[in-house]
Amino acid sequence: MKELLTGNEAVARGIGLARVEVVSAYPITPQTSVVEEVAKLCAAGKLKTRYIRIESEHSSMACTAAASMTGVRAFTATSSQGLAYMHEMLHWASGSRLPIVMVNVNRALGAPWNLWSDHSDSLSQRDTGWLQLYCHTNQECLDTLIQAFRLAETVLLPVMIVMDGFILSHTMEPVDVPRPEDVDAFLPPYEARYRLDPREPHVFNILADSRDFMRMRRQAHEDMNRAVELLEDIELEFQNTFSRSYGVLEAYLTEDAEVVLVGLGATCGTVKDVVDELRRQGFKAGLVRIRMFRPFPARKLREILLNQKKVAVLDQAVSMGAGGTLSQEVKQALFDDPHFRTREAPLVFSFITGLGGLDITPEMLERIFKETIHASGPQEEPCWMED
Amino acid sequence: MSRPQNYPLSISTKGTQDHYTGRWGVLKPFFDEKLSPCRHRCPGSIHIPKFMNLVQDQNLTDAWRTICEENPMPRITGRVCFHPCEEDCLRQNLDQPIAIHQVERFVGDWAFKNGLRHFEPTGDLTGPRLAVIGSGPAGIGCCYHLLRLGYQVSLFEAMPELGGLLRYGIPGYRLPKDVLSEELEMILGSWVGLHPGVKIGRDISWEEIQSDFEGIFLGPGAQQSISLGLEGEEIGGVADGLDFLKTVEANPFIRPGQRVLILGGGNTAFDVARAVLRLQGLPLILYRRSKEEMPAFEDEIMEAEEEGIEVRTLISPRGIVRDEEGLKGLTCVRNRITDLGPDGRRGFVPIEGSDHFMAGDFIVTAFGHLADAEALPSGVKVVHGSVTVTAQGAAGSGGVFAGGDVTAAPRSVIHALASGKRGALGLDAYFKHQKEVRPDKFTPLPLVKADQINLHYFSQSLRMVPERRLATERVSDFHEIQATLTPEAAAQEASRCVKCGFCNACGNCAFFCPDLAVCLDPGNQTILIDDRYCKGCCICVEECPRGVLSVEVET
Repeated sequence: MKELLTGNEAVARGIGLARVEVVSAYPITPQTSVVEEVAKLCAAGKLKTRYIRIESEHSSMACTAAASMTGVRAFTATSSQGLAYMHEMLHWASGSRLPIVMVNVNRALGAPWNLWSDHSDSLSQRDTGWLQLYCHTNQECLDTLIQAFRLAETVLLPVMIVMDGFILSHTMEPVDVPRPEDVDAFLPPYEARYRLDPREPHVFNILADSRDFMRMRRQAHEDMNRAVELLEDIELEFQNTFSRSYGVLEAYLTEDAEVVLVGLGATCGTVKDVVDELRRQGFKAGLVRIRMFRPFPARKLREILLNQKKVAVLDQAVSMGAGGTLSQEVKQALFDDPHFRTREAPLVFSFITGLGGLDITPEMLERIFKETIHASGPQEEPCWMED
Repeated sequence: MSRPQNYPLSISTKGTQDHYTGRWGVLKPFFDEKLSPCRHRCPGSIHIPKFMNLVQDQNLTDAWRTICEENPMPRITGRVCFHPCEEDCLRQNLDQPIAIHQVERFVGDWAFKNGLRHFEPTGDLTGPRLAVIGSGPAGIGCCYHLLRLGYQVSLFEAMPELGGLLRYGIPGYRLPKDVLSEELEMILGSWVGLHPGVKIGRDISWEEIQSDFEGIFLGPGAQQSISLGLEGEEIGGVADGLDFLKTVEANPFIRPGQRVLILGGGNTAFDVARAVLRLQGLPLILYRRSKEEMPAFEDEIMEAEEEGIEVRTLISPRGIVRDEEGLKGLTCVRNRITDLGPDGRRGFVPIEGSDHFMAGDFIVTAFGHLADAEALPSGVKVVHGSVTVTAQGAAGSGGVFAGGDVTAAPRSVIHALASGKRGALGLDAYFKHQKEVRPDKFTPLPLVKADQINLHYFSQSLRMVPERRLATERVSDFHEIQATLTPEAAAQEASRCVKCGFCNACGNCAFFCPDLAVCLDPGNQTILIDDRYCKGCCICVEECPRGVLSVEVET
């Protein structure tokens, strides 16, 4: 049934539909209304979820991880500084192979103080062993949440769902809310393979020697890589039940494109409109929206980009002293091609914009396409689009 | 700890039982019940936290028995005690001190109403025969504890009725006579040989007493009034405060409309003034020092103020003024306060030329009383109007003990009661030839300090106040002013109590212990800390609301 929901409300619906047993969170803008809604539903007895309020994000992740260790389905949500505050526990959760699902509502990391959306918070946690899925509509937020538990509980790794602050979190869109019985059929109860149980005591995460440690890291890496194909399998099933799917990445009119823009998140919705407009003008633009950022779907991206001449990357986060975070990933994917020396790789242009919530307007996106088509090749430095 | 090779994470094959984290630390928390500040301040050493906890748990029988371990008359002390316990109550760091005396009174009234009794009549008492002289709180307290220790007790009282100052010195609006009689009946029952109206030295000689009884407790009170020391005070129109109060309700000294000058600043002065007011006289209290130096209890001063009793301070009488019709009043002089004296009170000196006349139809003196050396057996030493006693209460050789107002102890009901108990324990030790007498039943414990309790576990709430009659209404009779707390209010007030130093098995320590090293042992009413696992984080100590755990450093 279709309802008008903000992104945060859609996520809260998803928590109920996914029959999450424990939510432990700390409020932070712009995520607050997710856990507020959950807390409200719990207090009203409409959710059979144990809501545990805690004094910090470090503790909320510790608490969520502990809950997950006992074999229950656990969820938390955060943003920005809160995510940064969790950093240590993010490693702990993935190292413990816990199928936690977390929503991170994007918000720029201070200083200086800022409330608005960019991707610096989630991208700065790319090495913590968490899967990352970026959404671009409120419908996708809800659907991804349901898929994420299936994914996490299969590969035994935690999943971070990323959505742009305010653009998705506080903006209403029509959302088709699935029927509970359909979700139950798609997402069975979580059966933990390893769990904390006083009746059968074990210590989790005891000291491991270097060989064991390295083996476990490699195993986690390989298990994470399996998630690319796994998500596609899960989506096939999802498609059958709910008639919707998103893929690990979304290619929009890339077949004959002169310039393909690669981006993450909600801005890609605007890019699609710009691509349509430019094509009306006779400019063959295209878009690749990367939905799954970790594991990075390098092979799938190459399949699309190796036929391109020019690729513009929309960087909404910057690794200072190195450049745009997303463009580094795109370039690496192209460089890691086994036939790299025998094939001509496309030119990759990095455009840094949208930091601290700077509006990325259709005009700006048009300029990005046009500057890319007119440039002979990328500069050493990325291009900063500040208006 | 062998692990299967294919495990994706590091899990031990066993639990943490073999993981003796207790070897890591040097701090060792341990169960350490302490002395609450209220009990520390209570002259009668009543185990306040324990009885409060029992009231909160609705176990009023055991609450009453806990009080009676020390004090057999909670109905009386609950009404007239000046409750120093409440001054030191740590709850006041959060809001207001616990109304301990109100809960005590409630428990006492409840116990009487529900037929609880101190003693189950068993066979005859067989211990040595002892005489208790005086049936005020000291004598009654002594009788009670001697009975508990199995002695045969005879009680002698010079006045026709029992109760001493409780009956003859405290008016009915503070302590109703029927409450007093019921409480005395409950304590003395048929187990004590009662001899009211018998004054030793007048009706029976001290020699007779000493030959009939193997031990004596002296609790005759202080009967010797301190006179005005002015010319003509014996002619008439001048009375001693205690004499005035003795018969005030039955046989009033004064007529309505008479102006009564009351000299003094203690409870007697205030009780006389309040009694005069109830007899439709016009009382005026004159006190030679400043208001801060008044020995009367705070509650009494407050209630007298409510009733509109006028008090003039820094005034001393100089002479009695009479004419052919009789008493006219006093000439007085105004005083100026001086620095603190050696007794910790501020002194005063008369202001020259401040002589003036105060009109009055009747004068009552309330300067306190001294021990009557004439009315004591030989061998008992009286110094500055008080009987000298040892720390155990012995007032001479050969099994003579003393307590109450006849000794120099602070003069209050609870002090007298406690001295009676001290006398009983002293006599018991004397007969058992024990050298050391414990002044109290409990082993001295460390005192709970404010930083050892955790008030975060309490939210602010108002102290429960029972109903009180309005001043305008109550001054027309001698009926009791205050009601007893309702059961709900008493339970609520008991739940406000932190129970400092007393473990009530709340379980916080065990709940918060990250190493599951703490467990409650309800059978033995103690907390066990397994030092194989306790690594000395001391969260349990911090989170104990009532300071029952302490830390030692392992060396």
